[in-house]
Amino acid sequence: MAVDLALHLLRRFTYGSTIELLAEVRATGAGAWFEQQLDHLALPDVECDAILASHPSFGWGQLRDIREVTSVRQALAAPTPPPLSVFQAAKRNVNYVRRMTSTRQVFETMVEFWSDHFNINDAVSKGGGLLNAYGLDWEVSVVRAGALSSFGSLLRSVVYHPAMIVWLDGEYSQKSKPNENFARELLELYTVTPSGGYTQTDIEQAAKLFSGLRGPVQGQALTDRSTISTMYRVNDQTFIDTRQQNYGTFRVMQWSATATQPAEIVKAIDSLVAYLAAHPSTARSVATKLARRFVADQPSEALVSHLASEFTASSGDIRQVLRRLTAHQEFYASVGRKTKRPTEDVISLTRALKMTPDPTRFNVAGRADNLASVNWGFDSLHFRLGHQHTRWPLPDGYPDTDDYWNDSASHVARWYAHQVLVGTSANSLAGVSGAKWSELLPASATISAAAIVDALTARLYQDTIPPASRQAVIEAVSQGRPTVTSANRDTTCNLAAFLLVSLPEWVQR
Amino acid sequence: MKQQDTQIISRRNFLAGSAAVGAMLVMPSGVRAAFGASPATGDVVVVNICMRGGFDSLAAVFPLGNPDLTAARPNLNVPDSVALPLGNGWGLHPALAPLTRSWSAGELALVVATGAPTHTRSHFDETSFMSRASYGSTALSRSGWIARANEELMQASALQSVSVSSSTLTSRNGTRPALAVGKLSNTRFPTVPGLTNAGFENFLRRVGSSTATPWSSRATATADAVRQVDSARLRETTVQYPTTEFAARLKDAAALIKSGLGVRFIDLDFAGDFDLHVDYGTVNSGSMHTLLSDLATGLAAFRDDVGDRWADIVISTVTEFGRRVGENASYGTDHGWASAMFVLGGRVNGGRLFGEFLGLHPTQLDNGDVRVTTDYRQVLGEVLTRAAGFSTESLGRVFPRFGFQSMGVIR
Repeated sequence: MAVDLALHLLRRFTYGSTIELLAEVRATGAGAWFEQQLDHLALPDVECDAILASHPSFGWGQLRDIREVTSVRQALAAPTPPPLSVFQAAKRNVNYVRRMTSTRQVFETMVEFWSDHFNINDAVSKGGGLLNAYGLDWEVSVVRAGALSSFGSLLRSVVYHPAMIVWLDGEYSQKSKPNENFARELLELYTVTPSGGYTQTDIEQAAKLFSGLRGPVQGQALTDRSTISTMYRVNDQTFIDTRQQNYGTFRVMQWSATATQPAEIVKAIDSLVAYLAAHPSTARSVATKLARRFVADQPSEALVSHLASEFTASSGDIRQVLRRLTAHQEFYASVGRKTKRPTEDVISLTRALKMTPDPTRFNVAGRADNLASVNWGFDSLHFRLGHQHTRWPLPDGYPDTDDYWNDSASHVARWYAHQVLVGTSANSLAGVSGAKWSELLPASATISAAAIVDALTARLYQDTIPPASRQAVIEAVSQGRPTVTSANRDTTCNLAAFLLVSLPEWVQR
Repeated sequence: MKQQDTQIISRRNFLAGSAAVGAMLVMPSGVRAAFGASPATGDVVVVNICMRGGFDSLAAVFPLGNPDLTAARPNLNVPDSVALPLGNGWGLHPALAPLTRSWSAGELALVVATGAPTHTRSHFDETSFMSRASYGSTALSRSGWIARANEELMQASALQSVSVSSSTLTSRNGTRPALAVGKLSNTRFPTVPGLTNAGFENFLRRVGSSTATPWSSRATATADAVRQVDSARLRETTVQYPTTEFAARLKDAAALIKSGLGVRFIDLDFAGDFDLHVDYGTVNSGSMHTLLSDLATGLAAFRDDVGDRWADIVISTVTEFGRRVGENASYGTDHGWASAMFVLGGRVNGGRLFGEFLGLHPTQLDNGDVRVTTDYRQVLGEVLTRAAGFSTESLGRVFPRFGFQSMGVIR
């Protein structure tokens, strides 16, 4: 059976195919469409931009550094300025809007990929709440800036970012007792992984090298570190606390460097980052994760080796590795073999049924420009599904294999999410415009259970479903709605859509 | 049947504080002669509480008057003056006060210097090894020990094995329990006009038989479990639980046990993160106090809630590793090796400390870590054989290639 290349590509590299998008990709050609997607900044994104401009909190979710956050807070005239966590909630909302409506779908899938790879749960109140605020800049200047760049430059921005410095306890590291948390995860999760063969001594050496790294402000007073004489400025937001920095010769695996002053420490860190980014074990670990995300839970050795060698040959060019991945026969042999994670499940549903974010449904407290809280039902839905953006509690990111997600709590949560989204409460409970069934059915459609099921199947799957599944849906719809009339057409559509997304085929990606 | 020969490390031995004191056995002098005699095989419920992040047992249960501990932890050590003495030279953190009732009643045993045979200091490796209880075996790498234990029982109920966790943190067992509960109140069928619960369940079975996938079989198993939860009258408790997430999970676990649904295994994630590299806080407040207080108040409320069923429940806590003995510069501790296990329940040989504790002098440590002298599988194995009625053959399938010896933690 011929593989529908365009549909497969869309199911793997977007948050959900639609009839319209599939037609566009078929017209453009799958390869050409993918190339356009890799040049994401050249793609106009009018609808998404308009939604993000429509509510002040979306702007809050895109603020950059901590000073911007604090100045917004100070500028707000309310007796109590919003807590920093409000900015963080806004950041999550911005992500869901983009997944749902952006034209830059491949880019957004890679934003999620790196958000998992370098996971920072910036909803925790670490560093006296600072992590909440740093998390905004992290999203913009690390994850989004580097999602389709080279792994080496992305890793470099990770190492120096204040969000990472706070998240993995670098902020509290001391010269005599370097905190090992970041050094350990740098080796174990972000680069070479245990197969790289590092030792505890390597971790301790790296921890010594990083012992002085600090973010831009200090203490509850948020003292600007640039005003402190013992701080050496690394870049706009990062400093080395010269009192807590170790100097000397550092050795990590086969790498070594000697540094006797702060400028040399920066050079040493840069060279360690370059060493780790170019290490063959890093190539394999990143290749494995990309293959797991986009091809199969257990990718073959052949595919991993192929991608790892491309990673090395291209000096970690992420786009080049993705090109090879999508051209590989194993990619095309894997149709339907990945399971949608919860965010892909619910967002593909909204995209297929043309549901859009409704910011008027934000549960906001305070004036529009001075929100004390902004709770969007769609974020709450993700919470219930256990898959809120950047809220996995550990540094290793949300699991990406179906055995993790295929548990009964997840099934029950998806039943609930589907019930809300296809039902009449979509607007009030999920904060999205409900499905407009009359616009989703062909004008000429006769009103019958079978016609409704077929029309919604085309919307949801852009394909046919197995005849036995189709028959089961039709019979269950007919049982619930023995007579379909224009008066009960919408509730029939609710029922048919709910059953269609309860099929095992729905979660196949 | 209480073991009277259990040796406890004496305070005097610790005050001697020298490596020459050497290893001090606190295990019973011999394996119980009664082992192999038929243990009670009523509906014993095994509750496994996972304390994620690396539980610092030395902050919770520690030798009193130990100069090595005060030297290693000048800022974090709990002073003897405020510790709750256990009467055997050891003390508890004052936040664990709600557990002293169980200790006095002989229903709480503490196993010290326990942990995994591996010493990687990696959360991810150790958590994964521990949920699988699998070391050096690739054949078992995709199944968890609770799933294997569940397979050893006659499948009497679809709800025989349940996990109660945040949906983001169900244990990574590979083989999932029939029911994973985030919140029991959310464990319901969908509400869709025109679709009955039975109609939905039939639909899932029908499409699952034509498209048989791991997803479709989990869907029908979920429907089966939810129907049972739905039909059971979940008894409302009058017990006041604390308002913590851990307590909410224990409350759900107690409701499932009390409802007579045939639950035998509950895998429950402690809802806090013990990975305190920074800021323990003080003895009376802050991160460590809050975590320990949550643990103790939750368990005390659970004990009250389950009432008579307490006699058939065995709770044990596990963690991926303990912490370094020496504190770090951030008022926290880094990843270490041995930790301690709490074992509670009506069948527990409690009011006793088990395990072989080698001491805390730097020469008695392994790279700064307390050495593991009791494999955590010894303790779990004892729970399975002596409380839950597993044969040694069954246990051999749950913990393959592991030499189990009873240590007397269960009466």
